[in-house]
Amino acid sequence: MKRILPALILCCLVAGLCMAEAARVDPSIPAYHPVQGISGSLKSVGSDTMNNEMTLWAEGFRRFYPGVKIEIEGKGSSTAPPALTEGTAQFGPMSREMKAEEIDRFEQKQGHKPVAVRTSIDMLAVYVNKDNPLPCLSLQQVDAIFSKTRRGGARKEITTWGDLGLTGEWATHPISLYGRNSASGTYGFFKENALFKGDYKDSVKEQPGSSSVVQGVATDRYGIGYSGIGYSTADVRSVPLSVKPGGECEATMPENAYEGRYPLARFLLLYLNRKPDAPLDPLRAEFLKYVLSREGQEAVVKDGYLPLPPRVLEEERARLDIK
Amino acid sequence: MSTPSPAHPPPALAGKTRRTSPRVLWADRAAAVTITLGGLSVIVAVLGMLVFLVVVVRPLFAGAVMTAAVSYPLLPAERTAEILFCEVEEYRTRGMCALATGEVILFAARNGRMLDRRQAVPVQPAPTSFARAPAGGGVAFGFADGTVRLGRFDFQTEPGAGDDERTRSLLVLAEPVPVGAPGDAITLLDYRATQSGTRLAVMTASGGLLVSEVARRTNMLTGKETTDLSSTPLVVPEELRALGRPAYLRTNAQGNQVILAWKSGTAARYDLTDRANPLLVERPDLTAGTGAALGCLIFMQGDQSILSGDSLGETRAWFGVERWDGGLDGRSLVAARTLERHDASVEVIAVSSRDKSLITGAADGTVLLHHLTSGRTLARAKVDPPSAIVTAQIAPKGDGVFVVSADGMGTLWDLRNPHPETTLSTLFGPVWYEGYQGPAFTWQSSSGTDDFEPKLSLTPLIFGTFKATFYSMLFAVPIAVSAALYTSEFLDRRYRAALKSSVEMMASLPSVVLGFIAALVLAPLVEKWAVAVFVAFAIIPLGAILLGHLSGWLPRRLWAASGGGAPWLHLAALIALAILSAAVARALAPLLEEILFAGDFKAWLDGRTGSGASAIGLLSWPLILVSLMALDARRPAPPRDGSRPRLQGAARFLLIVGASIAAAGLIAAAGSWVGLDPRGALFGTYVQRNALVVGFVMGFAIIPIIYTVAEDALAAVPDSLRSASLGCGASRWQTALRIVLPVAVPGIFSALMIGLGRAAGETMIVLMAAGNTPVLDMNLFNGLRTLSANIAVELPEAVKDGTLYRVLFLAALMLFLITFVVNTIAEIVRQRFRRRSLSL
Repeated sequence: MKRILPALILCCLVAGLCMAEAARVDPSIPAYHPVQGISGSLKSVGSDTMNNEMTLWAEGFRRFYPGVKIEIEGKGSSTAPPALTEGTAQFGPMSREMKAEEIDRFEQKQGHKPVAVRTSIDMLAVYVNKDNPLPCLSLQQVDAIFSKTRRGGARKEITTWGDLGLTGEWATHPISLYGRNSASGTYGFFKENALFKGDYKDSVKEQPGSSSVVQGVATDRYGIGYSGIGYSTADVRSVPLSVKPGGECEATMPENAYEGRYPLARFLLLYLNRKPDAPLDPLRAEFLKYVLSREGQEAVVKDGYLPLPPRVLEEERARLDIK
Repeated sequence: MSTPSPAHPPPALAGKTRRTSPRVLWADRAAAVTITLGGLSVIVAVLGMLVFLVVVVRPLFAGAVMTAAVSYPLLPAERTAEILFCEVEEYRTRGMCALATGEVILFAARNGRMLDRRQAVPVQPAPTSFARAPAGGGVAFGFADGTVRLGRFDFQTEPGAGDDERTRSLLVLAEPVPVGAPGDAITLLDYRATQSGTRLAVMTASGGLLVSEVARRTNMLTGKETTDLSSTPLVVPEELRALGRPAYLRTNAQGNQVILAWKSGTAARYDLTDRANPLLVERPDLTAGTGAALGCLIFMQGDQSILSGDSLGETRAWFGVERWDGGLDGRSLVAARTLERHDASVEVIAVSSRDKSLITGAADGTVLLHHLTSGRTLARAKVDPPSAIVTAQIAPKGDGVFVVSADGMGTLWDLRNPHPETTLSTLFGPVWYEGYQGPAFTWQSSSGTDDFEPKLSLTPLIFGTFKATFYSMLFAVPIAVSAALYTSEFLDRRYRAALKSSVEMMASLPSVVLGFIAALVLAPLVEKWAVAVFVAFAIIPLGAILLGHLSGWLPRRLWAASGGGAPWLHLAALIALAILSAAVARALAPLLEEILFAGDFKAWLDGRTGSGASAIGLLSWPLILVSLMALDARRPAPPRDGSRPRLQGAARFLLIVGASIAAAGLIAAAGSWVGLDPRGALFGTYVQRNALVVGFVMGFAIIPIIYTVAEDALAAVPDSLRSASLGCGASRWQTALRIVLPVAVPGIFSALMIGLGRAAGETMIVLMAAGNTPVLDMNLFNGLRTLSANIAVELPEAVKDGTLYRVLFLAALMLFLITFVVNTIAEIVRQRFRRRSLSL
């Protein structure tokens, strides 16, 4: 124990340093101030990418209001619109925007359109095994690896690591594909932006959660998969991406996402049912206030995602009319 | 049944009647009623479920309905030629028309009452061309002076206001941008706007062709937008210029495909993937060589296909397919789908922004609603009085159709079109989806965008269900049935109960745990030791047989003990054998991999190394071995004189194994000489989550069930049969195999069927271990997706009463039917067997 403890402390320090370097919450963001008389229960149904984030927010929120009950279910972004429409959930975290058809259904039942709140930023990463030497991928190559329609314009299908220029034992090994199931917003976002709206190959192994994708790539040496940056582990490595073939490769670094260079950066959204021209009920308003506060954004960093810049936070607070 | 049973006393006793007490009679009757009711309610429940499934599934096959047409005079007939586009807003209360004169009119969509009329675009210089982006309300006007004005058209709805003021139309135009040379009129224009930027394709009067795009990037920290403007000039070859002025110019939203087409159907397709080096890749004939004149040309929603309508009334959907004789980008446009023909020339095509529906309007006033994926006509209508259709629109929410005809009449239909994409042929047959190489069976149900073409073929899922069942039965049946035979016929009675209950304990493992172990522990392990696993499959049974033969070497005392009742010796020997075989398999695996698979099993499976000969040999070897052994078993048994079996048996057995290997080698050589290579069919590329792993672990789940029921059936065989057989001098093995097993066949058969039912419906194991890839591939080393796993994966995202929801219920109905058919066949066969064995 005596020998382990200093090692543990060192580990924590190193991890802390890495975190600090990964992304920082701007100190100018106001801290959360609790108010009186908040109670009740909340239910959230939606994104798996945002599952841990929701849990952290819920935990933090309950530290201020122990009487509030929060239930979280994260099977995929596509489960959020039905839950919001039927009124079984108050919040619908989604890692993609709602489709027009989903908005139609919501409007049919509720009489108005749902509201989306930007909560944090994710860099959808393409993961390979930690032993894989692959330096960079262009979106076209990603398309040629994952898609059977190749709408990105690549002429040839990519099936082995050799097709990507790897040599030695890698050259002849087929690429083993991991992905999410179609309920996932990550699945939809990747399809839209990395596959240019094309179709996945049938051989993509569809996993029920982001962590199983990462797990799959971690145990399969010749695997490749995609999921949110928050699920990154030491056994996998995210590949830098370039928008055009031969273009600049952008690693999954926060500044690349903030400055709009990383091609697969996206906002993580929280959808809710809000009647137009009526204020939000105090419970949901306080929860959103918490999410958009310094504490809420620190939870985002803790989970491995990127906090919103102060400008965006200000915009969201103003739009929701919460101070 | 004719056999007397104790419940009905033989008539001999009837004389001495004792009255049964009324309480017993009453209880008897009550029990009878309860049991009957219970049985009936089971039947009712099952039927109710079936009815429920059918009711949910039924609307999938109903077509669309276009009803409640309202029509009204909208414009003077002579002005309809000036219409650029007309449309109604999402609530179908207001409509608007933009005219070539730059005028915009707003009207009530239900009755045509004029609400507003204004000049939106200055008359001087007059607009010479116009384009409308399919989504987002973007419009572009081209002018005679070579400038383009981009703009946005919108309906603005004010929720609080009265009905008349509720909606206003709004057209905002940006400042003119010079695109062509000054004075070079813009004759053709296409405009696309997406979140990441805009694309503009422009053709000028002097014949210049240009694609310009604005790429947008936002810095989230500062909110600053960086725009990146670029222009790519395209070359129109001289021989195409000679055809006169082109009639259509279309670009996709990505800006990498541009199509320029003439009335005659001649077209030029440009590929701009490499913006620095744009290519004219091919010159298709969009009338498919019929000599018709093109009436309209428009990209389908999603920009994968381009739709053409011509003067012969044909509507075709074209998309790029890879061909050896394709254009410079390796693809050529193919008229993959031909929709229902109009009797007159097709004047207008309009596409839905919600799904893959489209409407075509013809010169005779007919309007057809098609669905692109299924190719079926969902609904048809005709404007009254008949007059050529000038412009058409599917309402933004897909719930209405609005057309304006040449006599100036506007017509609005209500449209109910809930499940346009499902027909029996799209659900079960091959479908040529947009951008695919040819018709295919594909399951890809949903995505994050509206312009996605749902691919709802149940065939790969049904196939996956059968594949998982087949491989798990292949693994489980021999083990379970032989274990049952051993337990009931050879194992000492003292150990039987303990063994049976411990195997039954296996069944109590939750399947999610099995699936978890399969995915995270077994799959990587099997991948690493794939060859060793197969070698062990062969060595363990062969080793067991050899061990039986070698038991003749045992010292006399031990032999007597083992024959006379020392089951620990059997068990210890078998366990030792299993461990030893595993070790041998592991040691042998690299050697065999070198000999059979050219040193790398997975590379061999891919077909990258080695030849198909070893595959043929490996497939034929077990068959040869089993048939040789069966032949050997038919020879007359040596006289049983009570002496110890000689080693002759072991030698004979080894000889048979050797001979079978030699024969398999010969067949392999012959097969590969003929050119057979089973790789790609039963074997193929190794995927970590595969049917082999599923077979193993699902075997775990179904072995206990099959074992228990089969063992019960074997144990129920009357001992008198065994005694008779043994008494006639048959060995225990002969008795078990030729007397007990045939008599117990009905029971064993129902054991298999119960196992089969469990395997077909099993969800969690396949969900976690099979990779869920909906492929049509019998390859043992590839994944699969079953109906049940698919329901579990996709039901949470399915909107209630949506198409996916109903298709998943159809999948449930399929599972129900599969189980129903299997069980019915099983019951019929079992009854027949039973009758036969009862007559024994």
